Amino acid sequence: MLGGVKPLTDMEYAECFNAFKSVSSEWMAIEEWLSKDFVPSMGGRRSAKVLSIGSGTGDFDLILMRMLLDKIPDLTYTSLDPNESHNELFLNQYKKSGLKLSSFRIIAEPFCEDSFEGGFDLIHLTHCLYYIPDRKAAIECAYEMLNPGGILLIFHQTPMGINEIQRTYLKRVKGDEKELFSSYDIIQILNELKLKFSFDILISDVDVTDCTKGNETGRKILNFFMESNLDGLDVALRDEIICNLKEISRSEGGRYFLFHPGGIFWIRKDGQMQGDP
Amino acid sequence: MEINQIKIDDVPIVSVSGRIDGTTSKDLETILNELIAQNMSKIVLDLEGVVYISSVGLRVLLSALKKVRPNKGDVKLVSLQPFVREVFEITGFTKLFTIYPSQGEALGCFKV
Repeated sequence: MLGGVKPLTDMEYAECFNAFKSVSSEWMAIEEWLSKDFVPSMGGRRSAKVLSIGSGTGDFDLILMRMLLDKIPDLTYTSLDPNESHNELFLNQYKKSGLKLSSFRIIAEPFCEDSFEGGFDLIHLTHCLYYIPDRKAAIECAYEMLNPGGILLIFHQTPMGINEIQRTYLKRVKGDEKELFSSYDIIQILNELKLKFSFDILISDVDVTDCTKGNETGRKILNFFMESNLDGLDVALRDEIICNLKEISRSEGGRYFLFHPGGIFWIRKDGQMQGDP
Repeated sequence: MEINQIKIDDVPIVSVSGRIDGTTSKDLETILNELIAQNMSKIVLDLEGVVYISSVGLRVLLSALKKVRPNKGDVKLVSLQPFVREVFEITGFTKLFTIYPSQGEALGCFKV
């Protein structure tokens, strides 16, 4: 980290993520995609074993669980995330949800090939590959852990939106850009692994008006974008980032919206793409 | 940015030149939305004269594509300049849009 900039603690990360989530339409777009395109194709089976890698606060998983339970009565769910603050939030939300899974466990560990035995019908990596050092090995390993006919779903940022800001500033702000990783890189990896895949891009925006105003929510959103606590960041550099953010956003009714679409990869183990969305 | 429209065999051909960015993309969005509102779900978009496209411009194109697809429509792109093609490749847009070297070939694919 450069002078004045600090890493985010687990709790700070969770807070910044929640601030981001409150101004992003991505979760709504993902929910719509799951509901219209993905979950209907999972019907017709009595049971399924699901692995969520990098489950975070579980918002995505709770939506997915509810949708899958409508189709599949016997659902076994394993979630994996090294952030214990996130896991605690997820567990509390799950308890309040009233969902009745056959089995549910959260494991506070990063993903690695020694984590589990395979045999999953669905594995998803939702916005977590940034934090996994060997992404190619992780994707390959996740694929190997699927049952025949099983599905690997990857939701990840594209080179547009937050990635644009990160490409320009991440290294200058925090001294490294190890989290810089987009759907473009995933396409290269899947091609190298010779895995057939379907790809789509969901339209979503982030309302970055708070960043331009410099208020508390904006501070957290900017921290999330830069994966750091920017409280000690040089003021001139902060102003430059905000100026750039305004430049690449569209302005509507006095608010600024950053186009931050979500990339979706859909990989079936046996390579059959029939009936896939 | 300049936008010209013609229609061949009931298929609108929208030719754009200049920069599609945060300042200009609204005009393109308005034209595409008007066509879609008139139930034109097959659109040819000629980008030969486009020298720059920002993510705001990409949003306009993707939004149009997502609107016409449920009606079995498509937005077919024509003649991307190298810089614009590179943007499309990096962003994954080449996996969503079909790109043709000429208006005639794009139109021909709508007839198949």
